Amino acid sequence: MSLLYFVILPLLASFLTPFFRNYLRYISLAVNLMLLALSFSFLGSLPIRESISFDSPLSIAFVLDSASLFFIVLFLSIMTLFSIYAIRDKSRKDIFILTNMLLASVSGLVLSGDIFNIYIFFEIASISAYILTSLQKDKEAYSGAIRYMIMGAVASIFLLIGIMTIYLNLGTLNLVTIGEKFSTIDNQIKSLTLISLFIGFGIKAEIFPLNFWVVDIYQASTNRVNALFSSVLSKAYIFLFFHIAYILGVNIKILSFLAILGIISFGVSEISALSSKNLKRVFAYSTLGQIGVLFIALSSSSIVATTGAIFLIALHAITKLMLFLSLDILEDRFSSVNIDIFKKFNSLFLISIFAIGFLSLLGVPPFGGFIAKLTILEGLITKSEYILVGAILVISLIEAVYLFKLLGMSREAGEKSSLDIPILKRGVLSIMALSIIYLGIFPELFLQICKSVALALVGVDNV
Amino acid sequence: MFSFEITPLGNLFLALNLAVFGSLIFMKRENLALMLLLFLSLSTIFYANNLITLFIGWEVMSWSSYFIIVKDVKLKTAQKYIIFNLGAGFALLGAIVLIYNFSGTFIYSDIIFNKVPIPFRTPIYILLFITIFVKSGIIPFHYWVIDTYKEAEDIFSAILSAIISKAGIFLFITLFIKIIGYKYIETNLLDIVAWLGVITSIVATFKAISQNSLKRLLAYSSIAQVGYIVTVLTILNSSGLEAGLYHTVIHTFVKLLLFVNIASIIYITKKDKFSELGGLIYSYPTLFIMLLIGIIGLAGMPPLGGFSSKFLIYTTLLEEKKALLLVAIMFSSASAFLYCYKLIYGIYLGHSKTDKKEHRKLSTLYYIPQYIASLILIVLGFLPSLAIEIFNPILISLGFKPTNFSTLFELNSNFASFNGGAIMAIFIAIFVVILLIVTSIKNRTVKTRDKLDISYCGEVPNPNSNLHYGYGVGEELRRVSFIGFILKNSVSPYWERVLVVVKESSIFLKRLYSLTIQNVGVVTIILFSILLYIGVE
Repeated sequence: MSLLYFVILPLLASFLTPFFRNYLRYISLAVNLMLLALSFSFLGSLPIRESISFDSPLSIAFVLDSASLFFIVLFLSIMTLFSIYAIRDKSRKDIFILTNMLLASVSGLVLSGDIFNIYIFFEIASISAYILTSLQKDKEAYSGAIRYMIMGAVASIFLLIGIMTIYLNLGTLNLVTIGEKFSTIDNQIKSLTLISLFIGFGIKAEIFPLNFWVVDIYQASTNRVNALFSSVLSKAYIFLFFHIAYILGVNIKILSFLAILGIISFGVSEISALSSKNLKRVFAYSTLGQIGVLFIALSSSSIVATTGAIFLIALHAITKLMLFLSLDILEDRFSSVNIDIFKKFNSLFLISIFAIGFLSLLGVPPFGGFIAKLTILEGLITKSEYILVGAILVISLIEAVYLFKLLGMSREAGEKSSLDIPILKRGVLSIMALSIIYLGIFPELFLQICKSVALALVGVDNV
Repeated sequence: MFSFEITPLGNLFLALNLAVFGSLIFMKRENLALMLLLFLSLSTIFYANNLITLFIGWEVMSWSSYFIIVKDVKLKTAQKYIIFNLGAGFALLGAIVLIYNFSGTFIYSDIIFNKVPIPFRTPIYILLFITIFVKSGIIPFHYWVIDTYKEAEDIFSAILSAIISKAGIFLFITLFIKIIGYKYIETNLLDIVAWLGVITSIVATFKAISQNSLKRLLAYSSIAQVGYIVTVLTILNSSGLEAGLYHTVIHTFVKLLLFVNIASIIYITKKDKFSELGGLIYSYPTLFIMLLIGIIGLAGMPPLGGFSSKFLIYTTLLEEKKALLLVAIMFSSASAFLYCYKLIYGIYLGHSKTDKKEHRKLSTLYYIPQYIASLILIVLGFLPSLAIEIFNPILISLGFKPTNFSTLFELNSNFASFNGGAIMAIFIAIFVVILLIVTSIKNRTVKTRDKLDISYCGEVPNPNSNLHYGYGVGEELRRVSFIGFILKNSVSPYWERVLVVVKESSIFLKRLYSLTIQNVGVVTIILFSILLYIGVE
């Protein structure tokens, strides 16, 4: 079985399905499940390398190690849950054309073993993201999509500069070869390359100060699209950012710079969320905050903290999918995303879902977020990063202010209307909530998986 | 991750937990799942054998109690409650991670605190003390306590005060005596903690006196009593621990009794102000007697159990030659008589201000917790060393010398002792004599037609005029210089200032995320130029 299926099948599903519009959602669910089965069949034979050569330097090189397999499985599970959630909504089925394209591109991003293919998948992902943003078909959505396009263009220009300088100096686009030879480049060129790549990937990975555009995009998109942005797209770019950083062998100074950016990112976005009145923006800020934590943990060069970060990536993907889909139910009912809608509904189920999600985001036991946070803190403290540990704890408290405000509002007395949630959506949300609780109480197995992923991501010599 | 061990200390606290929940669970029929979770989380804390299990119990306790109170209290109060308690939890997590870093384990018995370098010890102590102070409501971390106790459902206030505030005390004993080991702690820090405890109790006592709301008075009283416990626990020897445990037990049952008593009154009359209550002794003599037992326990007067714990606190301080602390504690507990008086006078004595026809009928369930608590208070007054017999295994398990006693009637400290049985006997004898005298006089008194029939005093009151001024106790204290200062000031403005600063910075920082796309582009280019100028190497 070839690794190419991970890219080809979703693309095929995406391009062929206009002919079977009514079966689109079933086809994409089938593709997701098929690929999920396929990815498990690779489990025994890692790592796998595949390459299809055209004229040098153009070739397609795919690498499947435990890190990329982990992310593929994560994205496929998220997509499967998403497809099941949306399968009964006949009116919004066109979204599946784009989600399949998104799936193909993020799979390509994590699988690619050469930097030019990464650029190509980067563009495919961007294009599908622009169209996804504009799906709402109103003024706000179009202006959001335009803004997204401009930022995407800026990102790809910088990325292209970085790739160009690498190719001009090393004559290769293969990531492994680049990693071997990168230290031989002249220092100034090296700076230019690293900085261009940092800005190119940094814009997409949504790190401070390159993330000022993100919240507006979240506000412009529908909740379902936001769910995918937050739990699939941003996670793919975070992986890519650090994958490339570790391949290029960045030094401790750059890593500590990234950690500082991470803590600023966490602090600034959580503080900004405090006074936000729009739930989409609130969740977007919270996503940015978690990305900040991931940056802190992934740049600590501690394998324990990296393990925690991988755990957090998976957990945050599930949590944000759950929260945005719950918000989707609320927006359908009240056609508003003002935080006041938390006062208006009366559904113990949805409140429990929100409570589990929020507590997990805060890292409060016995939910999965706690294990992630504890592991990250353990890793940071063994590296003597006391200030980072303190900052994470203090900023988490600020995060608690607005998350608990929402929960408190939902219990306030007042006029409430009941919600009618279809059983399928209930099922999907419950699966996610239960998995968050399960990971919080029995984390050992998953932590081991995360550890092997962390080792594959960081590289044994970088530990 | 979860592992437990059964210890004598855990047994004691679990017994308190069971007593409180067991007697109240039938009265609180809603939120049963959350109540069960709260009970389990408290039990987890008491029986944990590693720091992670302890922390999990701690945080589950915080959020499960939050979801219970959030229905009844204002949004702002709920926010205060959860933010302070989560903050305490995060401080605990910080300390746990620091301890783990140096000792490499979370398990209590494997932690060797000696391995922690000296510069890191004080931060660990401070983080732990913040956790304990928030939970126990020590100044200046008591900001959340009063409003929460006031606005929470009446029965749940009893749980908050009786057992949840004791979780802080349990943490104090576990962490500082069991894990850290008292010999490492600097005495300066302990002195500060001891004084914070005493200052808390003095301030809270005077604040309690000046309250017009029943539940706010009890809330302040609760803080003051826990302040004593914290103070006496800083004396890290067997008598300090014994006194702390004794007062913990007494305070649990006293507050259980008082809060349920107040809850009964509020249920009956739907009123929570001293100025609207009075004269209820005629209709509810049983409740009056229960409250009387409660305040005797609270004030630490003989012949009830409260006296034993106060006795131990005083002798411990005297033994350690902490004369100033002793004076301060005595000042505070003497002032506490005032609010005890206000409780009994304001509610039960004076003339009745509520219409008996509007009273709701009280269920028997309200009496059961009061009977249990008062029985325990009486038994401990009669047999003060019964508690010591329970504490001795705890003292042994924590490496202290057990206390000797000849009979259960006698309570010994290192240089004084008293016989609870004898005191009780004397009190009963005097009580019987007085009762006989009073009944003989009462037969000869003339019954007035109406309790308002006192027009011979020169004024003719109408049913609305206030004939008892029990609620006004504490008004005049504002004119006393030192006490007036305490009553006028509060920590709220400072905490609210913090909130305002955070909110303002939020509004400021939020602008970054509403920049136009051109400006975002400009920021990107500027960042690129700066980084290029600095260079990577």
